[in-house]
Amino acid sequence: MKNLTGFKTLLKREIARFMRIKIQTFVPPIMNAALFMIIFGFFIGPRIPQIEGIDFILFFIPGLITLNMITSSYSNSAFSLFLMKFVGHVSDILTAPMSYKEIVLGFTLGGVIKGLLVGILIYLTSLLFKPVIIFNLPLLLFFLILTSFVFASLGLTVGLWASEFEHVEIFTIFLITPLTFLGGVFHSIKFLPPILQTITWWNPFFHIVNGIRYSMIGLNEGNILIGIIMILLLSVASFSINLHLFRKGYKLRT
Amino acid sequence: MVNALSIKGLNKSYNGLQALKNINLEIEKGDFFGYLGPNGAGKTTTIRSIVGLNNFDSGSIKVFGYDVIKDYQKTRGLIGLSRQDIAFDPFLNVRKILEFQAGYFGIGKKDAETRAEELLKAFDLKEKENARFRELSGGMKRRLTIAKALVHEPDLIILDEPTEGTDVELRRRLWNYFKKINNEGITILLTTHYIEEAEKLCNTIGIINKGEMIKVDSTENLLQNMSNQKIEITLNQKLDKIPDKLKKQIKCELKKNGNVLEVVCKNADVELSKVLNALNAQKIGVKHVEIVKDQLEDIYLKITGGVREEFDRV
Repeated sequence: MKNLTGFKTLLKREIARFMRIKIQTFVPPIMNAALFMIIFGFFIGPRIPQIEGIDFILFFIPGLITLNMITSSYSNSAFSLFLMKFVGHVSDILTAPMSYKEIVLGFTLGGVIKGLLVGILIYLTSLLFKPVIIFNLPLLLFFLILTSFVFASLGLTVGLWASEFEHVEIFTIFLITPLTFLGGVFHSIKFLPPILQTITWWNPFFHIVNGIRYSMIGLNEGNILIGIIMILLLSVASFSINLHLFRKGYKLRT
Repeated sequence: MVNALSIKGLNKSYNGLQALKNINLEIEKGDFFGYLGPNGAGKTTTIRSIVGLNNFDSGSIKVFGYDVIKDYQKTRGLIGLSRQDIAFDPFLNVRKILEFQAGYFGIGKKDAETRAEELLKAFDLKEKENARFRELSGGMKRRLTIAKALVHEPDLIILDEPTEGTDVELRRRLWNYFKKINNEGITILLTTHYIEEAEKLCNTIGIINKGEMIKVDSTENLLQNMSNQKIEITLNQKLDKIPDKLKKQIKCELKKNGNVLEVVCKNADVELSKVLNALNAQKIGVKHVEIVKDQLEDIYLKITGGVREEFDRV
């Protein structure tokens, strides 16, 4: 990196941005997660049979962490870049002597850090309801970091493309939320009829949720190797796409 | 010697509309260059192309010999841009805006803090250092925009309408500051709608109109070669007609308007004594003499085909 200070400054700015709105950043996902744990874990959970010998609450905690982490990292980079474009001070970054790699990484890692913080806070909250002993910490960190990276990158792409606020939300409403929910956040793939099991298998979110669930509680309903390869490929692809778009000046340069 | 800015054959179009047509421009190191033109002439498009906020169709731009596309990181580090539009990071206060800007330009934390402190003092923003930009007045925002452009001590400063919306006092103070940093060796490219500003500050003037560079010359040459001058002589008597002898003696265009004789010439200072001698020889008494010279604004309007609004006549 030629301008390491520039990259660090952008990353610092990204962190300062969400830390300035701490309540908005951290309280909603924790509150939501706590409510899910109370209602689905304690009120409804005991009526649902164990999944592979695991209580329902323990089953869905990894899914809940994944869901919140994905939306947090996505929305961080998407809104950060979109607001910069909207207000007009994105030119501060574009006219600075930073390489496109430094710019893309600065924005993306800001989203990764926010996603990880949200994930850790939900994990800590879950300890109040159900102590979870991590099954495979290195693999869990691998999945958490790269999942945040992929969705922070997607957020950055959408932030570039978006010309209105609702454009940013469209992806959350129509892509991220449905695919994550259908990817097995709250249900086992075994609950589904064979045809839906096959469809779910092709949902990339299923492999992400499964990878995180396996590394957290040791339950594997898919193929961990597919999850690892997929998340690695998505990370490289999403980063390369953003690098290409920034180099071209897509929706940044006229 | 390498020029501060070298633009060759620059073309840029938007949706089929040619915004810049084969622009060629050389700005020497240390120059104070005024880039003038009517709204939509292509000034900001040129600037955006220099700093990397525009793609351009063809041509090349070099800053101190470095290509703005191939060596974009190098050239961006050499340029400080004060944009016409005021836009700041809403999550930062005034001091942090300057410190973060320094950081983006590769300046370490300690040096960034020192530089921000210097600029806060130089631009009278110290007492507002913890304020958000929304709390600043228009003049303060303008000062902060300029301070931000200077934070990394660039060698070429681009000031796009830097005094727009400022009061007379602030404008004069900014002019003094620009002159000071230019005297220290910093090259300045200024765009402005205040022609008086360009006349007072700039050594060289470039005029662009409808995407074409029409004229580039020193301010002095422009004023000397393109300026029409007029000697207005109020006489003791009303002339029925201009005497033929006077016409022969004075090689300038003569017009009479009541008891006022107008002598239109290229150099009024040189012609004045000849005219007075001729009038004296004709025994025509003189009550009052006034020399009226075209200003840069008149020349600019002549070149761009604009019309000067004479509001004072209404």
